[in-house]
Amino acid sequence: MGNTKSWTVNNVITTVLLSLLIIVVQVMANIGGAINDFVGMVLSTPIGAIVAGPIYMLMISRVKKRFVTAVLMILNGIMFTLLSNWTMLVLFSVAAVVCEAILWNDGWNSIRKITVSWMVAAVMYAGRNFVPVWFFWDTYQVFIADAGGQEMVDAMTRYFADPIWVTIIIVLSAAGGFVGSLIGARLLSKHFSKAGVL
Amino acid sequence: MSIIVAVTANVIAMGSLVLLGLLQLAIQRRWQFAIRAFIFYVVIGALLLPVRFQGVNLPLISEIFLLTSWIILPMAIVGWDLMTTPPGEMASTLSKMKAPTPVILGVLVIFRFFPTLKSEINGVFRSMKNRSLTDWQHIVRHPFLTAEYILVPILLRFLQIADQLSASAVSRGATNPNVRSSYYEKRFEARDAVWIFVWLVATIAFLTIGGVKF
Repeated sequence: MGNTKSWTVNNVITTVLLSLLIIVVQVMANIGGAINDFVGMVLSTPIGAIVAGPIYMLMISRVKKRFVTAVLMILNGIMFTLLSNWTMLVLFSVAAVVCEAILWNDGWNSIRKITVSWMVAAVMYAGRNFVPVWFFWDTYQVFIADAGGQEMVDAMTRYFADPIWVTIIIVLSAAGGFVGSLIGARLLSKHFSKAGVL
Repeated sequence: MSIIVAVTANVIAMGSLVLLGLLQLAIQRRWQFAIRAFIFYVVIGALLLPVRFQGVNLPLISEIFLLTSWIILPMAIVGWDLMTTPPGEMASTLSKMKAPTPVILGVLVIFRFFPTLKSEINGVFRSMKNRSLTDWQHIVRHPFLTAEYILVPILLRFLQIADQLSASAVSRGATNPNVRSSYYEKRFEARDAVWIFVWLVATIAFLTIGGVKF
């Protein structure tokens, strides 16, 4: 087990660099979802989790320190707080605590633990859409209706307030996280271990 | 009880913050960036207006995406303006503000990230093209292999860049606890205070006129 406490300059730079890459991939998946509401609201998070999974796997396996996933979550929280509202910081802070708890004891050496933490991260990432609808719907509805009309309100209600769709989105996000981690684990053994970068 | 979700329910008022952001760019004479941001603003507004006022359902683009773009534009303008600040100036300023070294390093990495990503992706596509791996037929027939060809070199390159940046940062005294300085550092001037005051007043006015909801 390596030194779990002190971070080197290299740890900081690697974590921030790969966290940003993960965030960019997830944002690109969201932008790709702009083609319609179903893709944007249901499929974009799982797709982002699949593509970003290998990056997450590499980041955790490479840095091998506590709080790596917390940095990713806090960066996500700050970004979504700036883009939408402060509850995102709370949501991603909770995600950081849960993911860190999973990885706390030497989790960076366990593909299984990294996989579980990424699945949790993917589900929490999907939660960014649910939180405003579940907890602040009165205000949010006025805002969405004023900005985009009833069509938008209907779309958000259909996907984020209906328990069936919410369950589908959560299951797909967790599955996306799982598949992304599987691909990541395969790429780690196929390329990165051989290249000696882990 | 519902707590504030978006800054205001009045989305039209958000234009005032965009205009203030554009004014900030104009004061700095960043004309090219200002023009691009203005065009983007007009396009998004033109697409959103019929959705909002005539109930038009756009066929190829999500209305939620348009709305999100509209909401984040003021922050995107000011954020990009900040991110294109020379790294030396930013490091010096943060150091004077007693920011911890990991925070300064993190911010500098964030600032350098987008140009680096762009150049690395270009490099990967050039080498893929040399090997005829960018043909549509190949991409459609082997989507997973194509993703692997893109992702693996970029990740390996990013790890190399992290190592190089670390060596560079340490050799430039990143671990030195003293306050950093920069050849290009600027002092906090009266006009900076005035501009902060303008933003403060505009934001309060925006929240007041727009109607904050708790």
